[in-house]
Amino acid sequence: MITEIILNNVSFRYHQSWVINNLNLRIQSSQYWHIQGENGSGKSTLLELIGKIKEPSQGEVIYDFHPSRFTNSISYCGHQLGLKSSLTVMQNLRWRDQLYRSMERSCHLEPELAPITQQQRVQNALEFWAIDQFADQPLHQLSAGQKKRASLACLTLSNAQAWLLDEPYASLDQPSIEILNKAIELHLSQAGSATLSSHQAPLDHPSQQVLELN
Amino acid sequence: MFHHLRYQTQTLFQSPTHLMASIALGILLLLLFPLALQDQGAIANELATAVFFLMTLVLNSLYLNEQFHEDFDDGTLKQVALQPLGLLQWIWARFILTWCCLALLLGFLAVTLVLLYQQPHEIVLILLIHALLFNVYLIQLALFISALTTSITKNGGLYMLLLLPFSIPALIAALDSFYTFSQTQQMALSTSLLIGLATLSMALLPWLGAYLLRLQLNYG
Repeated sequence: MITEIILNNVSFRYHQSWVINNLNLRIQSSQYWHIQGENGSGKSTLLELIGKIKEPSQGEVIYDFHPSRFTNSISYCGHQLGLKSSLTVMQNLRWRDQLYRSMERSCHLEPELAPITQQQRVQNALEFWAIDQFADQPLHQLSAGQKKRASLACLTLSNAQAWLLDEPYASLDQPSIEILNKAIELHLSQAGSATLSSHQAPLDHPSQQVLELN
Repeated sequence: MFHHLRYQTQTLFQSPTHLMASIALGILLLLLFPLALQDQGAIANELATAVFFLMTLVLNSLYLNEQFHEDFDDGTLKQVALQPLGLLQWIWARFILTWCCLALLLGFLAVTLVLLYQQPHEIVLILLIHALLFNVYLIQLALFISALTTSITKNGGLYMLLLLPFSIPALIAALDSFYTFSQTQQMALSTSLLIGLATLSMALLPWLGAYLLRLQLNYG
């Protein structure tokens, strides 16, 4: 399990301008980071740098992990859903579940959670995010909020220690926001970390840290 | 990799329009080319196998155009990139899926060609083996070009024309090898060249494609 994500003097240049400049950050277990900033200040880029989806132009991102545990313990939920609109919610979630299990196998890890079947895991995620009634509908038939919930449901399928959430509250109604906050609180209580960018008022949590990007 | 293959197969069969349109154009090319030769049926019969290889090329350039564009737009590639070697596996899954789909189609078309253009029946297998080897190289090359142009939103499809000049050596090798083998029952130097190109493309291009996809995610 990742105990700490360390960003050492991380900079990222897009075309000719520096989007992130010399940033140092430590994200530890059970910490809740709220990244704030205006549009274009580099919030999404920072989350992608933390997830190693983007490589920094300078500096380094280090995962300080327990050697016997999962190295790629990152779950990322971005602006884009990362799901196929022609497939059903169930088909999409099954693929994500297989993707996460494959990540675990590639790191020679035993699953951290109790060994339950894929069907049960997906069903639990569908029920937690209250999208079980849409499970067999193609994604393109759902509303923006329902699609977002399907995308967020993938978080609970993974055993990832670090959650990276880019504007997770976008398109969500109040009941869905409460489900998301509940999911984050549950994750933090299990020694997970959550880093999110949002224009919404942050979740009130004792471990909350705020990073303001200019 | 097989979970990617399953997912991509589901996606392909849920929205097969692109594949169907490409197949329809390929079949039309094969069936209608004798019209260009008017009454010279004998020449049409002689050229039929060469047109078969050309049709394979057209089919690939149409179907494999902008293969990763949708994956890039809907964020699938970002999820795949979280996994070590995920992008490489994604490309391999796409290669296997495309090769299998086109193999089924080429098998059907090879039989059709033999029946329509009065070719000896025993060439079906030889024709198919050569077309499938040629297809390995074409698909790998087309996926590489698709990876190269993934984040280009305007006229990205035109870049697939790059496939044409790079496929000419393999096309010549495939044709020469096919004609030599069907006439003498012996392998020619061109057979080795075709096998070499197919092997080299499988060994090299998926890695380069994965690297290009990574670059597109970084700067796209």
